[in-house]
Amino acid sequence: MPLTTLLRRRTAAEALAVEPAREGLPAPAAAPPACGPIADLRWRAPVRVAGRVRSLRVQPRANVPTLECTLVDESGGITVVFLGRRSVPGIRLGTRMIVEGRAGAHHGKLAVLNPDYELLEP
Amino acid sequence: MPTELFTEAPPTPTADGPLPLPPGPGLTLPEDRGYRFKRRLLGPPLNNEQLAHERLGKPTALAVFASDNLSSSAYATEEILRVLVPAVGVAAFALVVPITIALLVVLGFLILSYRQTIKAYPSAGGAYIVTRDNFGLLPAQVAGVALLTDYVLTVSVSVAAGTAALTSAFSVLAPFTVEISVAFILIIAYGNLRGVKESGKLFAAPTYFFLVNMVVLLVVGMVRMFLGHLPVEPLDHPGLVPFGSATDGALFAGAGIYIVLHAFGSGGAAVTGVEAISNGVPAFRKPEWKNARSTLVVMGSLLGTMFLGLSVLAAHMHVAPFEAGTPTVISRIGELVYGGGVGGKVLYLALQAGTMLILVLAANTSFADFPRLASFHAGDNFMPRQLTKRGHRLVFSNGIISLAIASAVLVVITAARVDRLIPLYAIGVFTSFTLSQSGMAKHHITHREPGWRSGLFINGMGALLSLVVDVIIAITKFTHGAWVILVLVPLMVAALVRLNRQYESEAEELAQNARAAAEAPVLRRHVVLVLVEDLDQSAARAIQYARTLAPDELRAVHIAVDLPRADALAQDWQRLGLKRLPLELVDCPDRRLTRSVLEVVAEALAGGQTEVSVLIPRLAHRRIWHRLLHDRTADAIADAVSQLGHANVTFVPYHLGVTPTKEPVHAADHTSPPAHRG
Repeated sequence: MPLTTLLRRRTAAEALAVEPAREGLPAPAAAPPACGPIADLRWRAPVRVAGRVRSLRVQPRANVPTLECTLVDESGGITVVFLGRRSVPGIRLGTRMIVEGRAGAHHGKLAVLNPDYELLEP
Repeated sequence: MPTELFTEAPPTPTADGPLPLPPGPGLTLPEDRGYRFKRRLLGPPLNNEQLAHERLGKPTALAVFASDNLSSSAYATEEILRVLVPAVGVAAFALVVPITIALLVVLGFLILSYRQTIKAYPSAGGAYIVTRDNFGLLPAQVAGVALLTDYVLTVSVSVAAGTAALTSAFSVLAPFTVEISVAFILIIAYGNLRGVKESGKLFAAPTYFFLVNMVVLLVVGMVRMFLGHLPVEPLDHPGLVPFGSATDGALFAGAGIYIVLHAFGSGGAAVTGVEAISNGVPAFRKPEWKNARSTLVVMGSLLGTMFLGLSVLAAHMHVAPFEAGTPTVISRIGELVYGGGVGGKVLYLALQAGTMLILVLAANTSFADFPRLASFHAGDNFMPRQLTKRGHRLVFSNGIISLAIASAVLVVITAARVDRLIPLYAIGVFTSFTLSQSGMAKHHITHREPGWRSGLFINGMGALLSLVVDVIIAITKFTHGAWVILVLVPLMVAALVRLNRQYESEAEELAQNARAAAEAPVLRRHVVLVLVEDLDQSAARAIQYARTLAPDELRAVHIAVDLPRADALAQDWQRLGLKRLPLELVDCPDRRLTRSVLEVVAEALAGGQTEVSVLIPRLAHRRIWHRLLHDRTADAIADAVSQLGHANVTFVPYHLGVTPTKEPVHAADHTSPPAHRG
């Protein structure tokens, strides 16, 4: 466990620190809210977090198409749900991304439904 | 294995209605390889009802129980001389007979004491039981452990002495002493694992063969001694132990007394084995206790006669022990008494054969007693439970194996030298004598049966004498190796007490509120996780089984050690037509599969209101080498997950080599039309 935590901590921190510079975008007039730790997210509150996809849930054909994944940073994790889609290009295990939306609930867990997402360079 | 499982067609229902049950379970269940091997090695298994005890008549009982005791005469004289000769020289031959007589007095009192024990404890009068009944569990552990160590030593000493009898007659075998001894132990252990019953014939022949040989030796020896025909050995024989030079006058100084006591202690080995009859009273014909008592007296008289006779002959002929241990004193006596003629040579070889046989039998006695005593300990939760289990052939297999290992190790360490083993010997026996005789004394005081006063005197004297001998042995043989026992026994008793506390606390924890716990409300949720590595037959089996459960949540879990493979599996899964069975891919960048599963399960358990079942597909192989082609991941995962409370692991076997169409079908399913299945 210690090794895993260590690895995760470093990568998430990297994502947070390096991201805006690496994107190379001109600074927007109204600066987007900074990414906070996942642990601080609350139900019904706005979300903007960066993290790594730790697990993906794949539904068989017979079900309602849904892609569910768990996004983690060093502080905790949140479920990210894409309704109506079987897969999202670019979202795989280990993918780093920023998601933005509003925290809701999905099967009793804190979740962001159909968020805006931004893939980060690995 | 699994292919053969279903070769026998289950009975098909006919129009006439249901059929009676088949003779067996309805399937051919082949035995596994290990069991088949065991069966070939040990013979068919014995059923519990075959445990019935064979009742023994007095002559057979003497042969069965006395071999340990009687065989001591083969080495007791030698061990006395081995102490005396280097210290006091020729004076040893004047001292050996008085020391023998002193030991016989001790023997006499022990026989009288054990007569009391046999009467008071006709069912099982071992030191352990007597001590436990009168003093409680802890002293009983001391008595038991002391006796157990001595059983180990009895095997080692007897086997070493038996080998010495062999190598005395055939000196070419001398370099292989250790190998021969270990082979003897293995043969005896094997015989006992097969369940050599305390069968009379097997024991009677060698025991009486030895007795006849000894009688011939003693009669011939005594006659030749009175006729003055016996030769006297020169004292400068090469290889003899060095002779001391003390004069008679110095003997009565303190050092002299110490040497005499030391010799006495070494000879104490002669008395070991007296307790065997009292352990086996139930095996006698009725009236058991009377027959046992008279057999005990006969045994004591025989031992006394042989021991004394050999000591007298050794003293007369100045037979000194050899430095290397062989030829033995008894074999030298045989050679000298019988002379060099052809008849003498035959008689000599017969004597050696008899000695060897009875010594090996003596080792066998321990193989009967040690496992039984160990099972008493284990039954009282003072030794590992495994020792209470009767094995394949109704014997305490684990006890037999433990004894064989312990005694073989001892033989190897001491290079099968009787003189190195003797200092360790007899302390344990006399400790257990002391405890069991004091226990008997206490028994007399508490029960006050008719004649209790004389009983008290006899057992009191028995206890006192045993204690004195024990102390003498402990002091005089301390530096020669007795310290090992004095350190080992308390350590072992401490270990047993610790073990007992563990067992008791486990039992207490398991017993408390068991009923309330069984009736307590169940957890609210049940989550079933199917671990899949690939979408293959084995996973399909597990998924099938999972669908027969009715969980609140069911999902397949794949730990993605290899990302491309995980992607491929995800795509396969999406094409799958199953409802309500999502696949969860879990990233595992550090490739610690077991750890990742543990984390997934722990996450599912969070909240404390969930019961998690983890289904692990496991391949059942047909051949042992097939199994070697795979690692034991499934078992490692199961071990890890089982550490969590409310996480339950189920292995779902997939039988390799069975085609899917011949899927295992339970006999019961055949009563319904095939269309209902699937």
